[in-house]
Amino acid sequence: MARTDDLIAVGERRVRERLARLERARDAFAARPLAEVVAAVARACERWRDPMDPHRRDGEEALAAHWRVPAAAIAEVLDGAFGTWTRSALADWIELEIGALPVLEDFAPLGGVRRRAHGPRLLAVIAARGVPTTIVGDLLAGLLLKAPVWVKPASGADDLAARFADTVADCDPGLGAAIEVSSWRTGSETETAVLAAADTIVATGGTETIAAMRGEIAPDQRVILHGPRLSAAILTKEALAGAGDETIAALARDTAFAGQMGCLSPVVAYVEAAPRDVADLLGPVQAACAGRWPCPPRLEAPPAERAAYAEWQALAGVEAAAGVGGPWVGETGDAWSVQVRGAAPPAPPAIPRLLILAPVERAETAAALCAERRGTIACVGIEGPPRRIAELARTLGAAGVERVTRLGRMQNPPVAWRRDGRPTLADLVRWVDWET
Amino acid sequence: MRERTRRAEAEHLDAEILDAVGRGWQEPLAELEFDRLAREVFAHQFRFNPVYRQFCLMRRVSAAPDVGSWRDIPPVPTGAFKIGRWTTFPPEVEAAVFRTSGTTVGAPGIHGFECLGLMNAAIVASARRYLVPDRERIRCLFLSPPPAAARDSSLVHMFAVFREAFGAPGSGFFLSHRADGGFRPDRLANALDAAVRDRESVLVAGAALAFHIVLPALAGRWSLPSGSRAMVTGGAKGVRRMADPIRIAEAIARDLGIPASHQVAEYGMTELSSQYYDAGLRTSLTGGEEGPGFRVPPWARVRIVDPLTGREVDSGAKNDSGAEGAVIHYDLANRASAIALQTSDLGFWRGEDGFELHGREPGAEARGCSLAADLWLERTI
Repeated sequence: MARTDDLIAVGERRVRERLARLERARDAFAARPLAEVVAAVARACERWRDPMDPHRRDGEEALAAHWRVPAAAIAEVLDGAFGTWTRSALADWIELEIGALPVLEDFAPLGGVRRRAHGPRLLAVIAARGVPTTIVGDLLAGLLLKAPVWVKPASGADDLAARFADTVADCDPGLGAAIEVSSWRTGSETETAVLAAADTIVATGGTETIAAMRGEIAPDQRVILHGPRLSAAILTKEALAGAGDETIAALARDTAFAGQMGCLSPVVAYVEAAPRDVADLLGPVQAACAGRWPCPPRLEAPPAERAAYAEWQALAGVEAAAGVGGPWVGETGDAWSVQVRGAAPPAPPAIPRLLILAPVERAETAAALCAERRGTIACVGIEGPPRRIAELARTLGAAGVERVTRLGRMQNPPVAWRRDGRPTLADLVRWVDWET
Repeated sequence: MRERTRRAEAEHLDAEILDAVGRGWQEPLAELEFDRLAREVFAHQFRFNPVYRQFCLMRRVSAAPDVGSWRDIPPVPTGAFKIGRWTTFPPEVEAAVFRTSGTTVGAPGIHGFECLGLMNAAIVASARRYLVPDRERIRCLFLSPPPAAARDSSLVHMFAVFREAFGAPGSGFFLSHRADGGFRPDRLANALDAAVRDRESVLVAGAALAFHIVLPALAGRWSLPSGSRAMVTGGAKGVRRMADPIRIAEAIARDLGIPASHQVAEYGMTELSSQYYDAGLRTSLTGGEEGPGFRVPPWARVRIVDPLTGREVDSGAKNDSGAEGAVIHYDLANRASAIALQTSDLGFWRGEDGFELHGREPGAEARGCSLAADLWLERTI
């Protein structure tokens, strides 16, 4: 079983050997029916849906230790993703984005001509630290296109990708041979060799990583860059008046998922209420978040987080002294912080596990604020009557928001969701048209 | 009346601080002297900066005498410079303003100065010691826009002071702010050619990202005359992936012929008036005995503390590394703003009185005077 310790930099001597293995796997892949590949991938996912499966059980335990949260919190993250990766959903995903499954095997009629879609010859997935299952989604995308995949987990990340690769190999050794999960040092010969061998690269990361990647792209490479994205929530006055507790629970579910590490976790909740009423929500929201992702308090956090928290706390004091800041909760003995602030566009939180509650007179204000960050807002979750959600969805869509859903569902996008407002599989294939 | 009192007090303090900077390392401020002066500066700021006073009250410091030692001065988080004016003087006497880069989503921090005398004196004293301890003047090639094009950059201001204080003929700024022009490699290449031809040592100075972008664009290699040196700043401020310090050092050695022994790391920020340097070049040139890490000038102090308890972490033994903590700065030259600054930079002591940085924590925004230039570079090259 893979462990984090195994994810050490690959020795430069061994990288050629591994690339050769992936190349052989690609040739074997080409001869296999796509339906067989989809079935094998689905079988591996199914095992990760089964709480009694030893791979899932061990993984849950290891991830819980890595993230320092109870196994139940990890289980929710795993179920959220693997629950959607069923055989039929995976096949539907291909059909939706590629048009038809047969075009991935041979020329087939599509759109009035005969077409063939080729998956990457080698897909390199460069992951960022974040929701553990995101990297698995990128891996699945490659496998479903019959591409060998080299996955590079982020430094210090959990080892879910390696564990899932083990499960795939267990279910289907041929498919397992098409996956490599290991890291390399930035600037190393290994990095150069892998990135030169890959014709397609999917990279997720901060602005800096993405900018660096841009500089390393060869003209004939296809590179999909997933830069920083943020999400927001909207709590309408109707939602607060109707089922306030349920609304808070839904907000906490979306916010606290995977410790707010993913781009689908809201960093700000726009609340249609007076500032004083919004301040009343501080305690309940914080308690609900802590209940969903009960990680250790700030006092036990790594030095970097403690330093950031100390500065944030001091800054909150300055803001209060200057009369510009709002009340907040979350002391050193807490893991989560919630602060009331004036409505502003979604911004990266100053510290991990911080939710801003921003009072607004009308929820439509949120759309205008999101518009100021056009192209960076991944999702807005709304709680309110269907008619208002529909109206807001149109306004938010026009403001550049990439996904709108109900509050409490932000972490459950469908398999074929348009991450970054784009298709996933369709971005990875190369088409050949044969006009007879 | 109050303004007259303030001004008299400020002039008195500035004179004392200038004297301390002037004494520099020759006759460094003793601990008791620093403590007295730091507490006087704090009392001045407590009296004339109402926001700081309010902040102190919340920190249970209700009067200047509550501070028994410079270590007890409540440090102001650097982010506070984004909130209102953080100065002890009225706007009409403001002499200069420097802005932090801010971020794509945040407002920049603003550091206002009543006069630039203290800052300039601190800049020159440290740079003379660590960048040019061996000569009166040196030809300076700055990888930044000229001062007229970047009036609010503290980094560019520092370079302008360098040029004035010890720049030899041929010194210049080699990046442009013009949207149409950007960086012209031929200008810098010509300057490097001239240095080689004239057998004239040069100082090449810039932000880490500037070196990262400019050196490949030059597409050439020079063997700059012996005694040439480089000053690199900002490698640890959120640009590590792009501008890895080790790779930059290798590139400077390879492309410019400046060996590692002649490459100096500088650490500064818009919110501070003083800078820190490593003593590597000085040691190479003068055989001095200063240890590793960033050196703290005598008119400043650094504490490295557990961020949540405020307790000082263990310092390293000689040539050893101490425990990690948040870096807090105490800079007398910040007389007109905030003497004590709290950052979320993580650092550790190297030996007895040098410190190093671990870079910024995930999630914290990258900022700093060098990054302002970095961001500018990203936009124009």
